[in-house]
Amino acid sequence: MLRCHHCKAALPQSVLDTPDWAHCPECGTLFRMLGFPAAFRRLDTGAGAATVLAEGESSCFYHPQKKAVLPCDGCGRFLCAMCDVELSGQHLCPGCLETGRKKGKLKQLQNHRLRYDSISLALAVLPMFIFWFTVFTAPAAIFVALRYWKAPSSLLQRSKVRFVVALLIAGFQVAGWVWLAVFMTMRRVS
Amino acid sequence: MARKEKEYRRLPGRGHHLSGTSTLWLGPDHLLRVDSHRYAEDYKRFYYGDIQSIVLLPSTRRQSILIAWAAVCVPLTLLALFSPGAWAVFLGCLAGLAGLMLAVNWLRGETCECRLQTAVQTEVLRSLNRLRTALKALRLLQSRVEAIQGKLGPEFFHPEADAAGPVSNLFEPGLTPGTPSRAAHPDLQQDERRVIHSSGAAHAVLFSLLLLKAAIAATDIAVNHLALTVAGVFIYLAVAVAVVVALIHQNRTDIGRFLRWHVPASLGYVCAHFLLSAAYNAAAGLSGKSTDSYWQSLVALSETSAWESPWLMGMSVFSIAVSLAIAIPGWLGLARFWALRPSGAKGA
Repeated sequence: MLRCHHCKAALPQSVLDTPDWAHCPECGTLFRMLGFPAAFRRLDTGAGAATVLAEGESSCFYHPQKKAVLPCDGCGRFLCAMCDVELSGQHLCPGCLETGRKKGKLKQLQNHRLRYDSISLALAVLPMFIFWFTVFTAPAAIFVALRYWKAPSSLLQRSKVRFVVALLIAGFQVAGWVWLAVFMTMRRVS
Repeated sequence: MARKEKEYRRLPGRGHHLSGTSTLWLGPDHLLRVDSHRYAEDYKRFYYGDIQSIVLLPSTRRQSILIAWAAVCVPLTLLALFSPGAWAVFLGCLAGLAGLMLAVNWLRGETCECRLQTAVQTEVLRSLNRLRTALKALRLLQSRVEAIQGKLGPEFFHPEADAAGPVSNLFEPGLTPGTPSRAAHPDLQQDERRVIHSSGAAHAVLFSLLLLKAAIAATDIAVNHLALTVAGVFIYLAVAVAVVVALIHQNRTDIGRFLRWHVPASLGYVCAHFLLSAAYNAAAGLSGKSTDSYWQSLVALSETSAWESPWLMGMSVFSIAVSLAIAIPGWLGLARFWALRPSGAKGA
């Protein structure tokens, strides 16, 4: 059922996907709406697990009294209908789901990522405004770039160019500090 | 080696919020919303099979932005016209920048709010905040969703299908089709757009500043001091900003007509005050009393008593009279607005 966002009145088909603003027939709110069949779909009730009836029937690993319906695609354990979690075509048990989420193996469950390349570039570039900080931040930038070179940075497939630029800039900074240290030492010796 | 095909395709539009930007990406079986902060990203997925509807609602954000940039551009332009030498160039450049932002905002077209609805949530898609961009993006999204769900045909709106009972909305299980869940508000029958409850805070700040302006102007007549003159300038600028904020804030709110008219009246007072000040400076220049810098002109103004200059006395009296004429009835109206507001109405 498609409803007005303001007064929740049911909307007729004539107000959908119009070339201009449409009016709600009840409250007159202006809107443009694209509707899809999911709005009319009935909610599926959750599948209940059947009890093991005959001896020799496979039972669920987590619920020994319940009948197994399929194996887990991650660990192979037998699962009942209640334990089966479907995720992008895979059937997983709760244990594999949690493990996959924690280790970052299930990309579909990831909702946060750090941009290590941006952090490394910021450590290399921003402290240049107060140049003395670069004695600490340049090595930090190099460490972050090398340590997290292979870490997944973004779901949107960013290139490594920020890492490369950060390494180059930080490298020049470190080289500059080393040269300055050598120069000062030589000068003091002479 | 074959080039890896990109998993996501970017949709047009970009939304800005305090900590970063928001973009939309089309994936193989879901729409991905990416909220980018400086050094991190947050993701939210909307699977094509779960999307029930996408709604565009008109918004007045474009008008508000236009008013805000005009409120910056016009005074800067006037200041540039009456300022000497390098100041004129500097202020002219600032006015030009403000004018450019105004033009860009105008050219980008109408603004809107885009909401995506599933069975369990209604999510605002911040990146689709311009109508032209939103329509372009939604055409791309529509084809992906319809590839999964199919098209919405007339069979879904058949009365027999409606009578089968409530469907796919977890938050309103008791609804029967064809009836609204609450009666339309009587005001909405006259005004087609949504009305937001105003807290009156912006108007309260404006009227308070006007009272303060009147107090400073009155004190300045009796006591000559540079601090009072400088304070008067800052209060005047604060009033100008408060006028713009109140103009934007009262748009499409339930604040009464009596209070609404105080804000344009305040804007008129701000412009009149500016013109009178500019005329005074021009007159001072013609009489040979011009100064090299704005600071020197402030110092000269603070040293001149209102009793010695009829022009200054007239401006002070004008400032006190108009400020009180707007602020006092404004405060009375605001007190009445707060008293009459139904309890529990949350302010905007």
